[in-house]
Amino acid sequence: MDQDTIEILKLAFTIGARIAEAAMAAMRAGDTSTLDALRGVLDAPELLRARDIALRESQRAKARRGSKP
Amino acid sequence: MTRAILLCLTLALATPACTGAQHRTATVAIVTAGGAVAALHSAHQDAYRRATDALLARGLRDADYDAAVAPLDAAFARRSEAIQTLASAVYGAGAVADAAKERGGAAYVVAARALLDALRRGVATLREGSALPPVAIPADVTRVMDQLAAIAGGA
Repeated sequence: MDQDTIEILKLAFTIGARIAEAAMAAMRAGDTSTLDALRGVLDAPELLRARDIALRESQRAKARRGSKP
Repeated sequence: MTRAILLCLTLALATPACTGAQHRTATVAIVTAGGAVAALHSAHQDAYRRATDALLARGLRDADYDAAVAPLDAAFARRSEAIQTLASAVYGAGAVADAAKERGGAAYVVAARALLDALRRGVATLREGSALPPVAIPADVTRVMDQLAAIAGGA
């Protein structure tokens, strides 16, 4: 394994075990695609948007009279 | 996102060959960047949650809350869009890496550069303090950007 790959893998481990696992999977030539590995670590843009909308509405719901913050 | 992938695929077809080691490094860097973007999204949500919890802690409810939260929501929506664009760039780079693996192209360099540019723009947007305080950028994001810059040739 070359030094650049080792460095980026070390970085992946500092971000989290799930990221490192996906990065390792991406490294195994031919048995997985980069896109498949990415799906394991990052939600699709439309899902990120949905999660932001859900957070906004959840906070708004707390602001209704009678709700506990 | 479709447009980004099409652009990247076009670039993938137009670039010369690369070694397996370079390709592997680029692929791992792209996946790691995906993890960094996920961390950015969590930090972005935390910033909004803290700001809106502060409104609730002041006792604001109903119309009072709605009035106070409006500028926060506008800033949150802008940042949300920036992160979606960034995620699209990550998936676009992933599509390039997969295309390069099959076709033997060095498109990973172009992909790393495009992803680095997207990260720089996204981080700049998140750092802007407006109605919401600036998002605390995780240190790993900066390190991912350094790795991408190395792959992209010091861009």
